[in-house]
Amino acid sequence: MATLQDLENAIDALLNHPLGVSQYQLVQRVEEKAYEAYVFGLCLRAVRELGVTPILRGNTGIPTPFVFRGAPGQIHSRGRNYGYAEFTLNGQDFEIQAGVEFKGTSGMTHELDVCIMRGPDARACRNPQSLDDPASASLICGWECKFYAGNLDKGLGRAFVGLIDDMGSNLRLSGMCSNSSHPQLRKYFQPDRRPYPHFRLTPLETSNEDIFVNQIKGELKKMTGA
Amino acid sequence: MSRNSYTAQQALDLLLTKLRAQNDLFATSVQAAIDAGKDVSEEEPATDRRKKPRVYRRTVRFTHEEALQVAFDALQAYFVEQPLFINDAADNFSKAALGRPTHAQAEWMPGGDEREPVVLEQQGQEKQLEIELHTETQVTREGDETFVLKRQSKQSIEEQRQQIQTLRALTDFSGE
Repeated sequence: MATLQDLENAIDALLNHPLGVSQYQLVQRVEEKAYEAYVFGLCLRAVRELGVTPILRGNTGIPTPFVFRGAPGQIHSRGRNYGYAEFTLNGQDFEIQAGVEFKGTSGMTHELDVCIMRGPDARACRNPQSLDDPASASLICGWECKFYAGNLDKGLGRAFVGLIDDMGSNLRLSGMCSNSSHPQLRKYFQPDRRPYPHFRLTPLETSNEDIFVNQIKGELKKMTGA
Repeated sequence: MSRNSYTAQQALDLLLTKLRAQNDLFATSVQAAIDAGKDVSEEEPATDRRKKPRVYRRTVRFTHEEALQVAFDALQAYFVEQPLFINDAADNFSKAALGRPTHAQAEWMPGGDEREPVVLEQQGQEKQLEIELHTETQVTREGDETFVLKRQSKQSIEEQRQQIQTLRALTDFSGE
């Protein structure tokens, strides 16, 4: 029979482990961004599985280190050497970006946590002669990324549906990615053209990772005829 | 025959007390996940026998057993999933290449239709990933500019995964 002392010992072992409370203190301020880095990595994997090597670039030079924005920002920002990835599939150039703001069809700007956009449009927005936020028409795929230790907040889903609604009709793939889940949000995302609920998207659920990666591969292949 | 000499409530109280003693903010966020409760479907018998019973949604609080599992899920998110996110990102970035501009094509213009010519380097090598802490628009700047995402050993992550499994087993009150 397990005693309260057995339980206390097990709790102490968990909390005092190097990946215990000290890990929480370390990552707590970047938990959302670390999740975005993970989703960005899954996009790199999708490109690689299409037989293409993704190339890491920086806004002001070679991305050593590769820096993720800490807050929504402009694609042409040179405040820091923000990283992005570029790749070419069947003659068409694309970029994977994180934390970049786009101009919605209404004119309002929106941040996409992770996205795939048209390469020429991204280059045009970084051109010193024509610095600008990318138009929604340049967006191919966009994902909202939420790390949650509890149940997802319903409001996030509603806000993302509103954002996607303002991104025009060129957007081919959208989704809400989270390590967590929400049964009502899953139903809310069911109608056509609503974001795909990539819930429980975590390395602990490899089948969910495969669904995410295969969606990207399928859409890029369809778009480029690859 | 009971498997444990303690109740689910005692186990939950102990866990939250221990957590609060180490980090009050963390304990509060775990408590909030528990206090969010859950939705259940309730059935109200129809007054007319010919009609179907009415089913409606009701938000109720978790039982102590369920609350323990919610707490362990929250701990797992930080102690197991967060390190895995970083390791997984590091794996995928290492398989990408760095692009070094060649400047071989002098006629290449930024913003044009052509991609800047680059040579590929460091494919298959570890890349340093950082998250900006001081954002561009931030006025007050104190502490580190960026946060370096560091890999954790697979063994450490597995130890924590196993430890959470042990705790779930120690707080399994089914069949009592």
